[in-house]
Amino acid sequence: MDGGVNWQSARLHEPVLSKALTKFTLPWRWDGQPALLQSRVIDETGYVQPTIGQLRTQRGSNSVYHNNSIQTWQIKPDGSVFDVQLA
Amino acid sequence: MSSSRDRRLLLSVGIMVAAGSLAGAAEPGHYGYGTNATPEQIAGWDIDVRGDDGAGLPPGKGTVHGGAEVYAAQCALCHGAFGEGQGRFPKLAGGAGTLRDDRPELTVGSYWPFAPTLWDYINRAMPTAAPHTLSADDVYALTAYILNLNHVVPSEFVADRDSLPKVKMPNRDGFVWIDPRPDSMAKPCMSACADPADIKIMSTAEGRNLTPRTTGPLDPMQPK
Repeated sequence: MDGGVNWQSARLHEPVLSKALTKFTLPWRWDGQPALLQSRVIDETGYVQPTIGQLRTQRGSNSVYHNNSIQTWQIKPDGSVFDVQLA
Repeated sequence: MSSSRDRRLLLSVGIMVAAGSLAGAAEPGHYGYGTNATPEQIAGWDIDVRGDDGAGLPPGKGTVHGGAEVYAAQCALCHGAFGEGQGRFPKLAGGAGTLRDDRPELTVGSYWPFAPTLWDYINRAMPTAAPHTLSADDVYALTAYILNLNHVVPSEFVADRDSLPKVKMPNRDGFVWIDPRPDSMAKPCMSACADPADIKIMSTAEGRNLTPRTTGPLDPMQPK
């Protein structure tokens, strides 16, 4: 909710399979304040989904495909939601 | 914009309430709507084709010359008569030797490792305004034509479920096939993982009119 400063564990929903999209829930009550929503996965091998900055450090900025970095959604006080990229 | 979104939300809530009352008391663990997918429905969605061995390719075949006709009608408008691309629509041919350039040209010929993946991509995603509407034969013909545009197969090539997996793509050996993880140094940190002062929005979709349209031809995903 804060752009990656603090994280909470979400509950996974079956089916939970390797290399597959997995449903999860994390109850959150929006307080009307600006927020930066992110989800991050740690897989069964211990691999932690990287931020876009970490990915660029490793691969450079011309990797083109296979961007598996954490996605950020900006919540504005009026309730509008936008796809954003963080530093 | 936000008022129309609010109306959509209200509408979907209304539909859910109506469905719930029609179905009566839902079984525990169910929402009281929807049906089990039939084998035919599942077959309609089960369209993936594996790149390295072509598993999942259906019966059918197509020639380079047949593909040229389908291509002219379905593809050339965006991708150019010879796969050269138009504006922001991508090139399908060329780009050999550019993979290490600042602006690599990633085409079927310069980049893609497997020919069956070309069949899969066309079949599921093209033409962009009406995806998944081409017959299996037309997709085989387009695959043959585009491979020929890239000088990967001769003009008498016939694409089918047996011939495509045998095509050796030029960049087949340019990929790392072992799992490269971890390729970033991300740590499983849970609290105080970043300094809030460092978190800045670098780019945003706001105001760029990027949201896709939600009307137009729908794919019924029927078996071919």
